[in-house]
Amino acid sequence: MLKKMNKKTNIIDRLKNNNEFQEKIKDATLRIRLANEVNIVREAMGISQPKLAQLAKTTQAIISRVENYEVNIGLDLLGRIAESLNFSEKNWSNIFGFQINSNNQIPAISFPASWLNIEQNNHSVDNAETYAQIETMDEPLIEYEILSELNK
Amino acid sequence: MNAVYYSDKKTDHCPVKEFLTPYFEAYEDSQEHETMLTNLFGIIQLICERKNIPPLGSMAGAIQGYSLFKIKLRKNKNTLIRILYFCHQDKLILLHGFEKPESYSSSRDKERFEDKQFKIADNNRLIFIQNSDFYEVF
Repeated sequence: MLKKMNKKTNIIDRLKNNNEFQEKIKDATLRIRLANEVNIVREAMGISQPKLAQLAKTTQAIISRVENYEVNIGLDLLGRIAESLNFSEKNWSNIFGFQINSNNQIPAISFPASWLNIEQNNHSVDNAETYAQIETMDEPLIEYEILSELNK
Repeated sequence: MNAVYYSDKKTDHCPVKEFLTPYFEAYEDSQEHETMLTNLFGIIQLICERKNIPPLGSMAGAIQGYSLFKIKLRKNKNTLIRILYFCHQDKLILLHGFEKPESYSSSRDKERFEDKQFKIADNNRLIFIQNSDFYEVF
């Protein structure tokens, strides 16, 4: 019995440590977060799936598949669904898993300097006024404070 | 909140792990099983992040008449999967899993079948409460 259980445990552990499996879980989690948010907001607004489909210029079958996390949708449809459901920053944060602070502001974001093709300690970006503050970190991340326009 | 399998140390019985093992074994050969498993991991992650606070949309919900919750998954067009769990001291404990046919000969059959499964899960829940080390990492 114990030998049988150990064999089962090995199969499960091997798969859980498989990178491809982990990537697929990440993809599924994003679809599930979106499905959850669309379903909850739609029901809270008292909108049926056919009505949402009409507003988002798609079909009820697609909305159903989105809510059953069966489909990866494109940015254009995502935008139309979000607009139809009046998605707020809170909804986006629930989907993408970032935090909003108590002032309902989008927090600082850290990302590699190379993404902006600038060197650390070089604060000269094209639209410097857009960024309230740029601070370099030890290695190799740059933290951008609040995008002031977004939080007005 | 962390997810764990309920595991009866006296009988060496881990119901949800045993239920899921055929899906893990067939993972590489079956798109259905791959989808089911990745969705299950994703849903459990979401429930843990949100500390099981409703609303959880259409993917999970409370079971009326029991101190249990169910995760709702679809295996294929004709078969649904239910994983029953409860939350205890910052743990999400996976108690029992079963396949649920989408069609029954009568609604009474459906109620009987599901209620039997809920009772099994509830029994596991009571054993766990008395033996808080009866678990394995999910």
